[in-house]
Amino acid sequence: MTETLGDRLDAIQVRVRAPGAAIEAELRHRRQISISLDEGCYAFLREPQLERALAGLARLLYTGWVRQYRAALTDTAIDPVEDPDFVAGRAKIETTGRSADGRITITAVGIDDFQVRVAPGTLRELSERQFVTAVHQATNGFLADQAAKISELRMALAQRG
Amino acid sequence: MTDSTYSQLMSTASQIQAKATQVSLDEAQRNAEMAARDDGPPVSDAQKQAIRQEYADIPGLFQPYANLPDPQDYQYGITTLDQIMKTICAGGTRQPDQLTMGYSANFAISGLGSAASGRLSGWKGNAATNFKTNFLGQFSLRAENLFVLAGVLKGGLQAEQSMWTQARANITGIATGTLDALDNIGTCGQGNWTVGLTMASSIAQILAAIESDGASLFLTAVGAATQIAAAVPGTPSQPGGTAEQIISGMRQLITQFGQQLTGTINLVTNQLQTSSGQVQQNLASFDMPRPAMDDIKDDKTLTGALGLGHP
Repeated sequence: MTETLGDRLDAIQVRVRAPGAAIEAELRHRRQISISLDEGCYAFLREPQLERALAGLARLLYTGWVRQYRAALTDTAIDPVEDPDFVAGRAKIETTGRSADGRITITAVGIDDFQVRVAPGTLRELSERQFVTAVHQATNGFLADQAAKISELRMALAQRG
Repeated sequence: MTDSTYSQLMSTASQIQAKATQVSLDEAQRNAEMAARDDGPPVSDAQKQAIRQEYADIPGLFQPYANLPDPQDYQYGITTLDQIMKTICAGGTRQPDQLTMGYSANFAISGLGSAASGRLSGWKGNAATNFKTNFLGQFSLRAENLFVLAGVLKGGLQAEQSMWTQARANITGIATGTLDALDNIGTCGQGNWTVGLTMASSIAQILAAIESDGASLFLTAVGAATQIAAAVPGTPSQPGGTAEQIISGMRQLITQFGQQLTGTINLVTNQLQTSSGQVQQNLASFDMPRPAMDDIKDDKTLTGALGLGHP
């Protein structure tokens, strides 16, 4: 069977490390994001530092994804150039993802301006494993919200014709 | 497009059907959630059935094009005509064009014309005069006409070969392009997509060559090139917003493709039928007249002044 665009997108892997912090993140299979912390560092981190590190990881993941996504579009029917209306509409999309306990919130305006909020006291009250799970929930929520809003925008532009 | 991609056309069509159905079901669920502002009601079985039904015809749309003739099957005829052209090329004074260029004169044929004033110059009498004038003198001209006619036939086969190559590539392009657009749903990109329908324009070039060759042979051809060029519709970008939209674009492309294919088949057929009719009307330009002495039955006459004459 010939490799499809779907196969190529599913195969994209991006692994990044936050500058100045001992955290790595990995994106696989389009929307599976996982983070891992260097052994023993969790106890020494503070919330503001983590917020900056996680937002930085999100930007790096996004940049890595876009680079490979564009390469995957080579020799496909997908037009590499997007309509200005779509680009402008996408830039206004506000996306949010929260952990189940509400401690971690990821937001973005547009698709690449990420902000991460880690509630004060989180590092004291959550174990490393609980923290990683909470980040996982927040990223899943974020990606689902983003996919829904991009789809809404596509449908709105499609109905406009 | 590789040939293996074309051979997977129906498998790709099934993938399109499955993917479009799944994406539409996801979209319907999301719409239900949006309408309810949270976890919406699940999509009803009736809605699901309607969505499945909407895409049930997709394999059937591709089926008529799943067994197009193999372009390779034309190669034997093209090669054979090429050999014939090499054999009968008299190297005349006509300007070589796209179909007949690159052929060197076969001196066994081009030398026949000069034989009348060379080795046979001592042969006199009615038969000698008739033979030299009606046979030797015209041999290379008729060979030249046959040479060009073979070029026209070769061009016809090449046009059909190219037509099926392009047809296979275009229908495969529609299928893989549709799948690309469906695969791209869920990314942050807009996902507009474009599939080029290239068949008509590529055939136009070959038919134009047949036309120019035909014209040199007084095989007046229809104004094929301009008609085809005018008939080539643009292939604008298709919106990739929703599964429904993508499949709607695919349906339009398949319809356009079918029209182009029918138009091109008709054009190639008309072109060759016109050429064939012209040959029929001007058969003497291609066919050597039977020598008169072929009808002389008695040996004395045959070797006399009315027959072979005296060397």
